[in-house]
Amino acid sequence: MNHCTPDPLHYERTPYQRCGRSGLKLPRVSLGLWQNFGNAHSLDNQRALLRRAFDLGITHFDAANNYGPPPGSAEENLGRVLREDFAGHRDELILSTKAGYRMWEGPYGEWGSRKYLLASLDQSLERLGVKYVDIFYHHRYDPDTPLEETMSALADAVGSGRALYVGISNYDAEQTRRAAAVLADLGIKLLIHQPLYNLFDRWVEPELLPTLAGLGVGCIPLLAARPRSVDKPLPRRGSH
Amino acid sequence: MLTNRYLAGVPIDSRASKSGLFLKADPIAPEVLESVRALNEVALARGATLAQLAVLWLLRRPEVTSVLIGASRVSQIEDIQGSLSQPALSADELAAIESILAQRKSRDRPWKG
Repeated sequence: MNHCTPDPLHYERTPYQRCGRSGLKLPRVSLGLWQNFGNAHSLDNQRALLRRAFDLGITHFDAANNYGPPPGSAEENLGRVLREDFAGHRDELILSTKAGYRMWEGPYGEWGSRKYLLASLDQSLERLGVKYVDIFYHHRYDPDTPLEETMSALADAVGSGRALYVGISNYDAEQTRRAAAVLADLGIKLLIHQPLYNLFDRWVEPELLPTLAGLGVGCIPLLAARPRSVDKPLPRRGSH
Repeated sequence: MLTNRYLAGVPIDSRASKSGLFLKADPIAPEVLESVRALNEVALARGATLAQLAVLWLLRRPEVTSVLIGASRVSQIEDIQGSLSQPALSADELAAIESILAQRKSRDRPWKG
């Protein structure tokens, strides 16, 4: 065991910003695990990335059930590094995961049912080796499941202690407004939205960003390009 | 820093291709590459890398709490973290970026995974 002993000044190296109208502050830069953390990458390199990030004050690591490849392996690898290197630092970390894309075979392994979301979260907690995640996201809007069901599953993730906050990813502005309203009825504040957003893909600017500002919801863009399959049928695995 | 190989249109192993700006599997269209070259000039003028510019540009929006970056090497995290100690983008820089981006149509459809 070689526990992480960060530079005593690491919290002075990065500014932290309040996430929307919430009590939670996030580092201005956070580390996403959507690539480079699957089993094809050496665990030593993954360990070095996570440790250096933390040493620079990057307290937020973002995962999803399907990150890998294979799906689940990014969470497994993160969990191993958390156990081996970050013991004693859990309360200094913001860990997030998501469910929405296809994770296992059959009708309960993707989209937005309560059945899928809570089972997936339990699997994520097992792979990560933690009692709870700080943020649990619905990864993509499900046009076929009542939004009330999906949002109540997120709310129950909080109520049961498996998550502290909830977020959504890849929802458009109108879907976001409805999700926030349903959650508010359940007594839960929508914390954060994670869209794809970069210099060449500014779809969030006309409607979504003003909507988030009005709702007091934070935004954490994923600095990645859309998969080229965006104009083709939905990708089945490994999507953002 | 963008490598010469990247600027020559071969993004393999370039820092930009692994910075999360683009998926490695994505071939870079010529008009995008032209924009990337111009954006790189904006970055170089302030002593920044393109990845740093991309992060600073997202952080210009008050709605953006944090930017999620990908990294395959420790040096990439250090590089991007370095953008946080730089001054925010100036009005002139933002105008230059808008002008570069206006030359190609931005995608405005919602991304629905």
